[in-house]
Amino acid sequence: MTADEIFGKYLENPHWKRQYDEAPSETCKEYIKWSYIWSGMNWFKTGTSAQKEKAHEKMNDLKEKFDREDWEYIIKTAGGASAKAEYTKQMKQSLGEE
Amino acid sequence: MLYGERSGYTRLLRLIYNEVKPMTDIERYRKRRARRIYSRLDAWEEEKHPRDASGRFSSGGASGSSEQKEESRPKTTHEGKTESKYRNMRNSLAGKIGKEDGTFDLETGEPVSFDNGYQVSFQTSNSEEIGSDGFMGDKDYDSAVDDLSKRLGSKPYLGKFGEPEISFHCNDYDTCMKMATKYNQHSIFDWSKGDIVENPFYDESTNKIRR
Repeated sequence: MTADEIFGKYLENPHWKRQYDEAPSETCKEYIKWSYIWSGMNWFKTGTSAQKEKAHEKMNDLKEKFDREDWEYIIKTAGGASAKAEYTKQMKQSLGEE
Repeated sequence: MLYGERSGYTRLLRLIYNEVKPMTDIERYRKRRARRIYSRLDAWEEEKHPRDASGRFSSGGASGSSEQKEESRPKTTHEGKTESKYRNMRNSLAGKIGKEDGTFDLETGEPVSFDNGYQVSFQTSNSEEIGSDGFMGDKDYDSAVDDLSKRLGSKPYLGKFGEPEISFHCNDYDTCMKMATKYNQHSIFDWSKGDIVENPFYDESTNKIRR
């Protein structure tokens, strides 16, 4: 399964498509795209460890460019209380609020 | 053997007869009716009709009598408490913690954080909403917590970000993924990466994300 195929698979699900389409910026959209690819590699057990690592590095690089609106969107759309709380911590660190 | 004296075999048959009494007409009718409903539901297709922790259809529908459904609904008191041990622990701890968000030890209330493994829950928006598809009664909720604790080898934790939920910490990715799929979770949280692994098959119709 290629990265594009994984991304396409996520976009077939209306929830994931809407989350991608409604992202507040191109940076956030790109992050969500790589987030789907990285998640799909894990979920469908495809890709090498190096490919997974590379996909996650892209996510981290994009996170560094996030502004408050991007972070708030990621927190808002995350599932699970622990994830939302951890993203909030990351946002505060990233924006120098901690 | 004298006439009228029962042989061991006859006594055994009588014992079995007394234990397994023949069905009455109403029982036969109920069984036939259940079979008809079951066949209409395509119930053999587990994907279409997932079952909850106790083996019942989690989507409600034709499964279970109205008495059973009534029994599984939480009986709330004037204080808003339920009869669920874990729901009470969850709500009580969330109240004590106040505004702080994060992951907490359900028993001690201490905040926790992990360097590895995954955090997975089973709770959905519908599991907490009385009358909705997939609503979990107190007994079902408690047995799901106990069952998942065993399967995931984790004690229950409290995840809090506004609405509190019970979640588990597990190092085995496959087990977490299976649980997340079974309970239609949006994602699982990867502690080492600090990101969520999103479930491609997530169905938002029975588990809306609280925004």
